Amino acid sequence: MKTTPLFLALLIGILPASAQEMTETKPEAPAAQPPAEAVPTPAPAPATATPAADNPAPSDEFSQKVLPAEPPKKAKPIPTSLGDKSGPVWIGHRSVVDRYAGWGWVKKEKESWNQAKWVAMEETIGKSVAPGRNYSRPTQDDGMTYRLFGDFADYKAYEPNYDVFIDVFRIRGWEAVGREEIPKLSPPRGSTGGPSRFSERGANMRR
Amino acid sequence: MSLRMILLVALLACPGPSLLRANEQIFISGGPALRYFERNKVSSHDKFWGNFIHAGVLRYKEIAPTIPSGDTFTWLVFRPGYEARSREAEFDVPAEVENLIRPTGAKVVWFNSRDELINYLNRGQDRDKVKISRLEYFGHSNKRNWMFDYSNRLDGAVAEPFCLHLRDLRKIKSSSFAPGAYSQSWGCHSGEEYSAAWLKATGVRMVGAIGKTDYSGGGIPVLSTAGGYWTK
Repeated sequence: MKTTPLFLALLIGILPASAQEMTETKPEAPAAQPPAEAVPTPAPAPATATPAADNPAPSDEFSQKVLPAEPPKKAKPIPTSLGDKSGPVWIGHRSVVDRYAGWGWVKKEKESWNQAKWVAMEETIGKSVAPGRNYSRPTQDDGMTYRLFGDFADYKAYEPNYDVFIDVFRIRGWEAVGREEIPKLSPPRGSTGGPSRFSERGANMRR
Repeated sequence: MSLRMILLVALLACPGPSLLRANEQIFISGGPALRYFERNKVSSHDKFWGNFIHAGVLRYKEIAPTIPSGDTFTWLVFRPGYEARSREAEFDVPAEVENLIRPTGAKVVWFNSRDELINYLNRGQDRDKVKISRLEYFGHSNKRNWMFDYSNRLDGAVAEPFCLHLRDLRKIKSSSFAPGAYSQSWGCHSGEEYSAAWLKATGVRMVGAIGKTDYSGGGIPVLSTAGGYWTK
């Protein structure tokens, strides 16, 4: 047909930067098809923080759930301390919550756990990162207590599952104390206005 | 005074309809998450750094025939997110962003925070003369927030100065927008609450998604929630 070359030219013209082209030329290109959904394994029940327990968040869009750990090729020792350990000491308790962003609880050394703050951790990749980064999955230190070195940031973090602003701890260094139980604590919930049919379910809760 | 003169004076005294003016068309792109934070998650975001740019380029091709000649086209891009991804990916991501956008003819304006974005919307042009007639957002969102920096500075969260929450919308001047302006959020869940708040703050309707949107196919985002739809 006479129109075929023109048709092809038009077709090429309207597809100037297809995903396939990007795959060949750019690092970390988009998949041509959405990746197959990974099958999550049941996460260990958080011992001390259960914000999702009485207000389940059905959407996993901003879930912090991680894939199952792969068997290590070679056993790697987990360090017991890292980074800059100067300055005031804070006590941190790692708490993993599937549908709640953040690292865990942080308090001053002499404070009770009831005075602890739920924090997001500001890390400097390649320099000072959260202790769990030394495991094959960063959630494997759930339940660990640490001495933390660093300070609170002058900005808050937005937690997208529960529409709430939480504190930010800038980590510089840490020492492991060990696994321990702490009193049951609940991270902050949505504070935007009064309860509504949306805020009751938190952000991204629509099924 | 003749009737003709009266009509002429009246015409000059009235503000001109937006159709006769050059308006501004705006795209906004949030930044990508870092793979360092996302790679082991079940809901892993932004395997491709350019989802929020690439989708906009394709959207531009779709709307280009409808853009009035004389309108300016501005593309606001959240710089810190692409710079951080650049350090991780070890190539110049912001330069690649500009390369992708260049064929659209858009003027790229990098912004570093919510406040800079709001300032641009309110004062980036002489808003008495150049009104915003289109605004479209590509990026992470939930029903109450546009999150330009999701899982980039902070794992699974967003630094507060790097998002545009419902509570911030009142800072945007409704007078910046042309009558009948079009706006759309291509992020997840915006139609569930954000669109209504946007309308209240700016006087402009915003098309938003009920449900999630998916950029991972490499094209214009598609609804990915069963029963999801776009608000009108």
